[in-house]
Amino acid sequence: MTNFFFNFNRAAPATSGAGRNTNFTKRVVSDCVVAVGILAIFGLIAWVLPAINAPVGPKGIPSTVSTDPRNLPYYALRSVFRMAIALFFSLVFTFVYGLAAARSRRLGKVLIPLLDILQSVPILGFLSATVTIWLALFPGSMMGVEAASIFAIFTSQAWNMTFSFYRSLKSEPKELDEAARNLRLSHWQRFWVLDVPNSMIPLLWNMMMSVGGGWFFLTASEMISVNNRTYALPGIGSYVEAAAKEENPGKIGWAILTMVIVVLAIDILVWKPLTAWAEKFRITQSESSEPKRSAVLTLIRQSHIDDFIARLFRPIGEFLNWITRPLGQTGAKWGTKPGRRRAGDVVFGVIVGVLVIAGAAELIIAIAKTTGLGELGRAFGLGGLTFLRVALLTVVCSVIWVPLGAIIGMNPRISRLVQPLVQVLASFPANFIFPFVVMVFVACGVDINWGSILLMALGTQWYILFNVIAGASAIPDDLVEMTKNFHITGWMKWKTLILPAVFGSWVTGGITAAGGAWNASIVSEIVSYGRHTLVAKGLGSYIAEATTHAEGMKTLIGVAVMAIFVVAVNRLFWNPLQRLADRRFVVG
Amino acid sequence: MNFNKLYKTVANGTETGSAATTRTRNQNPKYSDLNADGAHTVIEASHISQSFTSEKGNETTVLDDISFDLHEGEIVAILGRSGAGKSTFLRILAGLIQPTSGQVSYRGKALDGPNPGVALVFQTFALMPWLTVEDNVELGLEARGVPREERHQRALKAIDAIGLDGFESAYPKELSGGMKQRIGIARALVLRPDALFMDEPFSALDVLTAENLRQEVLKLWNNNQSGIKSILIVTHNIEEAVQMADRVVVLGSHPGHLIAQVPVNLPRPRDKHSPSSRRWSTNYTPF
Repeated sequence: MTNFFFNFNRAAPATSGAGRNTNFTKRVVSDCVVAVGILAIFGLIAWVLPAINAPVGPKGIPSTVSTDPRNLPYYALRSVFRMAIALFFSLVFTFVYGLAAARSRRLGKVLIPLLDILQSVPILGFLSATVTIWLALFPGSMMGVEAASIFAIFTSQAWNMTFSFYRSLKSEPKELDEAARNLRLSHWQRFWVLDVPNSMIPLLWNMMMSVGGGWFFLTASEMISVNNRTYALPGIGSYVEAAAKEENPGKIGWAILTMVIVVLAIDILVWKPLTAWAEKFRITQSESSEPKRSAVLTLIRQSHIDDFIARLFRPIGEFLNWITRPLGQTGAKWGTKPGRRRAGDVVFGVIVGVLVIAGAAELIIAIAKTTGLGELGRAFGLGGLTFLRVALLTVVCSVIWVPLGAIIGMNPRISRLVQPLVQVLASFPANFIFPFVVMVFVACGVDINWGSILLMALGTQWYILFNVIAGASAIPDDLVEMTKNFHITGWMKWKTLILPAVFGSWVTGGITAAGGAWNASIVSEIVSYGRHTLVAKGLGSYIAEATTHAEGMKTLIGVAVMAIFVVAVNRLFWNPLQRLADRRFVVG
Repeated sequence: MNFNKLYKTVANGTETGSAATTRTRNQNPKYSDLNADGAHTVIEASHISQSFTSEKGNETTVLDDISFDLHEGEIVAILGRSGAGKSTFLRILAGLIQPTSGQVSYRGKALDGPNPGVALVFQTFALMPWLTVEDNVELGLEARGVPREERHQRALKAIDAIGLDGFESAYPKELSGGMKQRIGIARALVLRPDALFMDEPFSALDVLTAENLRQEVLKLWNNNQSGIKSILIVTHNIEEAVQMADRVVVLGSHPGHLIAQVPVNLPRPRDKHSPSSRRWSTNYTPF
């Protein structure tokens, strides 16, 4: 078991080709390339690491960064490093939280709604609440700001992945679960042999989406403007922010170029090999139609690195296996009888209910004492405005991208070209081109109240397109042939086949896009370019301004109102739609 | 009861079954003594009932007061229509489902979790698709803390015994259905369980492969090297039950209940086309 994770050499049948029969020279060359690659990675880490714990200079933590384009490669490295560390913590959080919610019935009832709420809190809310804590934890060192930044990126990545892992845990194939319990696997064994592999493919796609989303908030995470102070960390995000303040489109152009290179490099070096490797975790043969190839993975398979790593980690794996055995076996004890369980449920429910009501009451009293309940009303009004923007954006983007996505998805040749392109576009942080858009707005006198809709859409519409393409390419061939055979064409074909078939994917894309749009409103409703600062009326700008001016209570109100809006819209609109899609529009 | 009546019993469940059921439950003196040699009881199930409450609050009784013993040295087949609750009953005996009422004991000790003496072979093979054949077979041994070298040797021996020598590094995706079920059997065999439970093991395979595997299992049983003390097969195929079992337990449906327990006294090896086998199928008398 311990060596199977590192068995890169064992290709899934569809992609076999790099087996043991490649000649010796190829393998030696691959070994050299891989060795150079690993040395390069260690070298880069060694270059970056000292700066993270650097002591704060006499002038205090810098509030801006140099905009010399020659710093860009180093800044790019720092940003990628931050992303990677945040991704690692997100993964750990995903496993722990998802396991707790899926395995414990009572905890699950609390943890999943909590996750819903956490997902709807904008990252600026998390930042403003915790930045002082992080700074206090690491006094006199840049590590404090770095930690705050990594935490902010973590909050933009973790929730998506946790939901995906939870859903995979809940939908494990029944006979695999029975086999695991019958074979009396320990909890640790069951986790690595069943839980993680079963969830790997959706988790990987959600990781890609999370990282893509994380790039979008890089600017806000690296140039932290909270409590009347600005803390700037070296990174591409802060570079763009600083260049925008200087009204220097050339430098922004360099940053965009660097970002494109970074996104492409990560795609080729990380995502493509991982998705190709993850094909070994596919349970049913129905979904993947074409074999996924990756040059990097083929290279790794041809070298000896996987045998080496496997041999290195085997004793560690055996040791971990041995040491976790006392934790017990999966499914070892039946639960308590239903009667006692129900009594425990009631007690648990009462406790949770009391805590929630007490917390809410405290919050309202605090609001009434500081800013007055009128502020709450104002926040709700602004929230309504932003809600209208998000709704309009969802409708318009759906009307444009659903037909286009369906056409692209149903044509395998086009989709093979377009899908990777859309993936990269979705990863590219749209707010890097915000300064240019704002320039245009200022020049043409466009009202930011409407312009912010465009800005919000730039970052989130790709989710709808992406999901609809995937859904359309999964329409079974025999249904399409049937429409040809019965001469069902034009609007009839759309009404009876295509639109219902992509309905489920549209809902998935729509939920992500709408949620992302709410989050994006914070950086879209208040934008600045040099001396020009455009402020729209809405909840996003309310929160952003409150955060910058250290108005803690207003920030709290804004964040709470946004959370209420998002959760309410999810419960009242998107979740019923998703249930409808699961019930009536599942294909195949 | 002749073969046709047995068929009708299984097919119609409640009607012809109820009379026999009453006789079975209240007046049957002999069913617990079926293995008259006094062989040890491996698994004892007393008064098992199972009911499920649906989301709307309706309660469905799946199994109704079934008592059953599994002794050493015998193959028992549980026969019944689809939906009679045979698979549920098997899982209750294996400790994967907790019965609503009643108790299952393994070697005298009541179960409060998965049955430690049982290894399962599944209808849909239940192999981990991302593990090689060898890793799959070694899973149970790894769970018991067997050291790596010994695991490797025992797994190789078991894979050899079911005739898949050379396939140790293959993935389940690359194997046919019959081969996958052989791996499932090897995975169970390597643990040397007291009882081998098989849940409709051959119904997902084509006729010839199924016949092949049946013979393999019987061969393993007859040469007594595998350490298995008893086998319990769930099946809806009457011929399979007659071919393999020493005792056939017939379950009726709606709710699942014991209709009859029938000893099969034909000498082994059994040929399903032989006259004595045919005669038995048409003419046997239940206890």
